[in-house]
Amino acid sequence: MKISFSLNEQQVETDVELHETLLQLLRRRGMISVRYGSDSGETGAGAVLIDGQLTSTDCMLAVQIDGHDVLTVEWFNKPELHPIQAAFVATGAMQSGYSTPAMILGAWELLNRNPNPTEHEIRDMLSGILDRETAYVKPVEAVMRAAALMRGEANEPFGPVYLPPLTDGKNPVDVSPDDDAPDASPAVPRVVPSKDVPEMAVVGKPEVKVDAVRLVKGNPAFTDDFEERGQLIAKVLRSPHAHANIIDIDDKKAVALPGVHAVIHYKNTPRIKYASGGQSWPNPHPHDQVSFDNKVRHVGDRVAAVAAETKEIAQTALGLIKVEYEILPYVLDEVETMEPNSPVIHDEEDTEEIYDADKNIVLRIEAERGDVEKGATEADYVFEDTFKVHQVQQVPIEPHISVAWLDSDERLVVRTATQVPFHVRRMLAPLIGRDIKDVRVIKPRIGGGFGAKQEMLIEDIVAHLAIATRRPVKLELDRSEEFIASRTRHPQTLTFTTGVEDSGKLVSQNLRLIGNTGPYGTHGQTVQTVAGLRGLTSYNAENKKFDCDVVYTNTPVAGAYRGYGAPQAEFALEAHMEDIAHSLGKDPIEFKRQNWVKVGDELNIAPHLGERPAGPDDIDEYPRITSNGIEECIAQGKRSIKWHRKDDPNWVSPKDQPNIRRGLGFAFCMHGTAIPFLDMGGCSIKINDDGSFNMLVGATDLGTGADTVLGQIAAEVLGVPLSDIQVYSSDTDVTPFDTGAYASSTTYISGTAAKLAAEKVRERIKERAAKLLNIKEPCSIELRDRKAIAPDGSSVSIEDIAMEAFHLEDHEQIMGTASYVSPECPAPFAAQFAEIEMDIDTGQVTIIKLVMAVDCGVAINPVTASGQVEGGMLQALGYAHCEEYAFDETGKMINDSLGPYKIYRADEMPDFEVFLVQTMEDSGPFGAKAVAEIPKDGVAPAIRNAIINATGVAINEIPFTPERVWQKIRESEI
Amino acid sequence: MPSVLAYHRPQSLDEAQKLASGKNAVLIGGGTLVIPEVLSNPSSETEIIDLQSVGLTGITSENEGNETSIKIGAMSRLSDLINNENIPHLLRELCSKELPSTLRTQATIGGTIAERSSESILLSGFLAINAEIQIHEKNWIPLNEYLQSSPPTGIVTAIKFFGPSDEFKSCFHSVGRTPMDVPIVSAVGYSKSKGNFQVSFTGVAEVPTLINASDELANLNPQGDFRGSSDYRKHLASVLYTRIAQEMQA
Repeated sequence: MKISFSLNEQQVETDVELHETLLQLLRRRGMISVRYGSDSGETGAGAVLIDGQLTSTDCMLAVQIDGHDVLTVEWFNKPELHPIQAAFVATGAMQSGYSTPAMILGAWELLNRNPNPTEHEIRDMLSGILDRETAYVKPVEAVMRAAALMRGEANEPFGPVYLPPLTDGKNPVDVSPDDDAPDASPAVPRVVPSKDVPEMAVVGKPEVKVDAVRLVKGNPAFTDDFEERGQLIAKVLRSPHAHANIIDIDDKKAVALPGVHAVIHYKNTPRIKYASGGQSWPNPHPHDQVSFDNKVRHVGDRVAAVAAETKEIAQTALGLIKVEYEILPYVLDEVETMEPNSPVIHDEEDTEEIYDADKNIVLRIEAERGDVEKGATEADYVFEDTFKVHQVQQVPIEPHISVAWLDSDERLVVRTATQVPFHVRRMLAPLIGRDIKDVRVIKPRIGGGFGAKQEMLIEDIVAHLAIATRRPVKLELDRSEEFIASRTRHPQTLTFTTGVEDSGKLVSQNLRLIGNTGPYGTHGQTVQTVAGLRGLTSYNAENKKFDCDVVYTNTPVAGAYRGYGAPQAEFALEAHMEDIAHSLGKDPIEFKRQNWVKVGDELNIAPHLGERPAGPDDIDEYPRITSNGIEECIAQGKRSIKWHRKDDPNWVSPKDQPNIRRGLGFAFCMHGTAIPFLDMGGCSIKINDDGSFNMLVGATDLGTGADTVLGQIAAEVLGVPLSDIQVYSSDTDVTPFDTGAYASSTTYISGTAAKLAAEKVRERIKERAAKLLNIKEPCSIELRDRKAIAPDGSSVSIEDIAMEAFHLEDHEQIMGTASYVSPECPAPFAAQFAEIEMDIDTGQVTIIKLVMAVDCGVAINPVTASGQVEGGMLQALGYAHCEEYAFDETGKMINDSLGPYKIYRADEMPDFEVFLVQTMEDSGPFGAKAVAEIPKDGVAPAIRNAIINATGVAINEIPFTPERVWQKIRESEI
Repeated sequence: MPSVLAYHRPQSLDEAQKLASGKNAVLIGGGTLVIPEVLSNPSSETEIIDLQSVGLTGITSENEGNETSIKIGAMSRLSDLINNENIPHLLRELCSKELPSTLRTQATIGGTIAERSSESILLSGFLAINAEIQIHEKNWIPLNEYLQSSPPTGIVTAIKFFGPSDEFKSCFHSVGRTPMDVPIVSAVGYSKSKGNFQVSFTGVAEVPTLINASDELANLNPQGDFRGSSDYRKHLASVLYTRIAQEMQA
């Protein structure tokens, strides 16, 4: 059908298919800033201005637009940034930037209508654009600053506020109720500097993200923004049953459908066992998956896949595939699955190393230091509590998407939204019968991953189809598939048993954990061991034991989710410690402080837990805490949250609102930084004629700002501004190896590799400079301000050194390559505070404010670091408060869309405040530790502990949904 | 076998009515709910009847006796109500809460009425204020009557209600997982004159439901789901009714 409409003020006449959505039409016409997030308009990633109003395009037919006006962000794109785009860049308001164009359009419409909007009005505008990354904090700030710019007012440069420390870095202080935290926008990171950290030129500065301009302009960046000629569309037929044998598949009608090029399933695909988790070689056992099986183990499991000319044809073909199932009983609960009459989920004979397949136990993990039983016997008190944590999803706004094709040399190329391109290459090759050298994996920008993309999830499907059809094939999951067929967080049942002396000192701590990995093992081992690690290393106790069963069930598959076992364990641990303190009549913070690990303390069970655990006698010296800024974090957090109010009965129970209770809660958080002896990053740097540098890294920027941070590290070493470093990341044919973006490793591991590579380049530059300057000792030369400067003040520009090296004397390419694996895993620490208000008649809990003060060592970029904390807290808030999987009586997820699943949107967010407390971590690049995952750890226990403050009711299961809380209140009869 | 077999954009209601009688014909206002559903079924062979050109837009006020009647065309977008100062504050607030920014510019009042969602707080708001709806070529009928009976055939063309009187009072209470979540149960209280009030609920029946007295609460038999069991919803209805009663009688 022919339609006519105005697109970015140009009249367009075009033919459209009747089933084509407006989003598809706009992308087909090159407006690739309009991005897919769902088919229901819920994400807002594809919102544009229609007749001047911000409107989702994914739930609208293209034909509906006939006669209307459409504006996309491409309309703004001139050499100079529009003030709104400039404000988004300056404030670090985008991480992945996937939905940033929609936000910019919404801001433009709002500011045209209302040049001086309130925060409430800005948040209302953003309410339709879901964001899992920024927590909306910096986008709101960006719109406010853009409004000021457009009114002709000047803004102060955006950057951190620096606060004087409240402590000496080691000892606690009393925070006076009269002492107010400094007034500043919530978007501004509050940095508490350490005297141990020297002043630097680029590191520690709020540099603009290196990909910012590309993202605010909506330029091609993501997997779907690049289209191969002749590309086919793939769709996957998924199981409607939670557990069934496939007796037969008849694909004749599907194959015969015009436009279908291939149909693949268990009958025509090689049966090669693998584990899909993106982890180092050799992937942990069991390898319990094949590309297509003759058994399905959860609703949404793969049955078959089709490649066709269009999505519509592919979907039709799926309906023509006849599948004969033998439906089997299913089990969803991690405790029930081990019972004698439970269905056996892996009864095939070719999966090795399942611990006890008949009981659905994937593996057992045991580790002990000291003697927990003896310790408990000798303790004055023994406390035991059991906690249940549930299944949630990462919800990246960009769904999983991969495109595969055979290049002109007939090598298989996969462009894919992955956190682990090098693992994908290695894991994919055997499944398609190729050598690693015949596979290339390219990772463009990713629209959020959060662990969901630490997996080879769909790359094998597009690879099989591309080989079968000899055409490029694209597969993009829809939102429902993201929920039922992607990866999720492991549900767990955790029981802590802790022995305590009269003095309050812990003497023993046992963690019994049952982890639900769903029907496939993938990250099952590693996530549960990290849960054990996080659950048992935060507090000192001479005797510790971890006792864990990882079990199969028929839920959607669990995998990596930012935090990776820590959020589960720290919820249980911080709740358990809080309850012990109350039972002993002790102040919870004091009780925890008495026992938490401090600088010099040994992490006595850590080496025995992990992907490659040490045996009982393998360790000569245990790792120790090397830096810890928790006391300053607590002082800053207490002041910000006004901690003294928790003891004021008039505040807790306001007299004029008898149904309302208020509370404050605290959680102590400790995380890790990378996996020692395992995570590896590589970096290569070369100089250009003009004295700029190309930096190639295998590290995977998920929107975290990793490319920026790595560039800052190199720039600091090389004495140039960040703009002189061109960063290119993650292409297995081009960049050095990197294990990928996970385990809070990128800044620490890849950052150290970048620093080492830059140092090699620096040394060559110095040697050449010494010659040019007639200096005998190159080591006396400094690089700064794009120059090599001798002690006597003479200097030569880096550009001149490059020119000389390329074109005049002793010709060479100045370059350096380095890689890094750490023997250490320095711990970041944080204090998480929560303020809540609850209605005791209904059980509704409202989160008023979250404050996190983090010791992440030296934040290489305080703006991107604070953005990480904000985004992490947002996801942790959903985990604690509203997100959950719900199933019907057949085992099917019933809330597999964003409305019923419910993630927080901009107009309902609590206040956020972030403090970055510097410590100098000597093992990290320029003092850095990790920051990406620790914000996931403390929100749930802090809210729980705030509910105790409000009502005295302790709830050992999340999320804190109204009925659950109401039931607990009823039981307690408050 | 396509999902969308044909697309029509009728220029009049009569034409739309005629097209709507066709096999697999589906009417759309903005299409926010219908289009995703149609596209999810590749062989539905739907004929889309897009009402955007039939002229049902506009919000008008006119005097009817001593009162002001406000009439909203069915093709008015929710965002049109938010931006119209003749619309009572509570309804504008409910429009904002009903859908986020990117959907309320597309979704129409007619679509909201036709959807009859038990969770629509906007529909509940209209119900509380005794709104009436008009179906093409039929008389105005009370919204309550429309919701309590089987959906009649025909195109919803408008909704109307009387504007606030001097003694008018209204309020909204809800319980949800988060502040802007679709409420598990919500209640809109409305009092036209002192001493009388009624409460419209969502989340307690298959459609938004009007309660005129507390003893009617006992007749509710809500369907439970993962967000709230039947008993919990009944409890919430009772709590919210009591709160509204206190507010209305204050």
